[in-house]
Amino acid sequence: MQHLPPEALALCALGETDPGETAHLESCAECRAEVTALQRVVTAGRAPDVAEELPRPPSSVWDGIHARLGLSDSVRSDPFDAPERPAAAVAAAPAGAPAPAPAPQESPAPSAASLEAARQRRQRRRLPQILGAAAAAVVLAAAGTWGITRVLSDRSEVIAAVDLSPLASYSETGRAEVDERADGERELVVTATGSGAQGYREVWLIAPDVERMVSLGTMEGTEARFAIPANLNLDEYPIVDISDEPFDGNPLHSGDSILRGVLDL
Amino acid sequence: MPTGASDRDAAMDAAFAAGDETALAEAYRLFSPLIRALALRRLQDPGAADDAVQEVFIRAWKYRDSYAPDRSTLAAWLVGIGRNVAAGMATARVRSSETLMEPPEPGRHSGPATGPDPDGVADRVVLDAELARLGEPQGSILRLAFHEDLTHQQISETLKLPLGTVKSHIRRSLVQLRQRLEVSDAASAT
Repeated sequence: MQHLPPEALALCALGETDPGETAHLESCAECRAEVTALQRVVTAGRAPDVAEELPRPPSSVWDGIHARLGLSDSVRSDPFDAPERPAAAVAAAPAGAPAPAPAPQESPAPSAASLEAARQRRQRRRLPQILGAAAAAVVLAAAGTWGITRVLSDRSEVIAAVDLSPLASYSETGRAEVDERADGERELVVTATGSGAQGYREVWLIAPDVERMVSLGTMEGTEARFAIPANLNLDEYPIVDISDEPFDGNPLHSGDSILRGVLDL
Repeated sequence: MPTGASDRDAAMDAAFAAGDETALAEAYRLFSPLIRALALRRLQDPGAADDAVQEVFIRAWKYRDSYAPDRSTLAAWLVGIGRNVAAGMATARVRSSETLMEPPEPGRHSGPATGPDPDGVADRVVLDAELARLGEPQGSILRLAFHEDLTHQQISETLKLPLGTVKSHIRRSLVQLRQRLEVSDAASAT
């Protein structure tokens, strides 16, 4: 069966679907899943803006933050009570950013001229990117057998690794490696063959009691890299786990694990 | 990622990453009600929700070095930490070693609905912040599609852009924004 082209899937997510596409979506779970995933963006984009109506935390919360972090007196008062203080933050805008953008709220549709200017800016910007890619290709070619991963991650060293085994009802295989870079930062590199996930895949580090766990993020494709928080003790969370998470808005582990392994530390 | 939209939020995000305490205060003013609402929904306890808010901002400030303004907005990053902190507190409360093996008890996550769904509000807040960073003409294309409900043909006419350009921008922007929303599902800096 021929899948819908990517651009048609995006339009379907916006509600622009013709009868032929509707019929295809009814019979094709893969295209339907893609549309559903993109619809999260559309739903959010069309949702009413009610954030302003949420109640603020009591002032004791800011007092606690201020004390625990040892912040300076200039930010002593609860930010909800403090007068607006745009100056300092705005002054820190990145140098070289184009001068005053229109009001941050609702910008009117840009004129054809400004759009043309924007197009030209983008085209000019593309050139260094292409050069960058070419330069990277040269570096990679020169790297030879030394390994692409190591070049890209700046001389990282593998400090722990484990093959991931599939749990019942799954047949995937995978591997997890912990890279430590020269600057001490650690990365978890996870590879996994295809995805039997019904929803999306999420990667976790779990304690041996299978009770405490840290979510590192979602995984797409066959390889994903995650920064491991500096203060996280891997001895405490040695189990690497990839779960199948339904799109239910619930951030807890679904209980449905695809692959798992215990890091040899 | 074009940085042309140098609006107030982008300045705040950069200042936060650079260690400007006034940016922390501003981020707290903008996002603490949302983070509290997310935690309250999960924990069903106003005192615990306040504790979660405090923990989120303390953690975010301590680990601000791991926040990269070019990879996500501060809104998405803070919401991601907020969800992790609330989930961690909820997990700590449910002292059941079967957490992984058994389906979650119904009712543990769905408390009585009060007011708007915090997850929906969070998506909207994160998306607004990301839209402001999208650059042009992508930002205008999506605002017309979301807020004015225009079809891609109408957007093409309104902005005088070729149909194919509009379609490919819609496609790429939706994919990018979806990834940005996913940042807010689970921040790596916790």
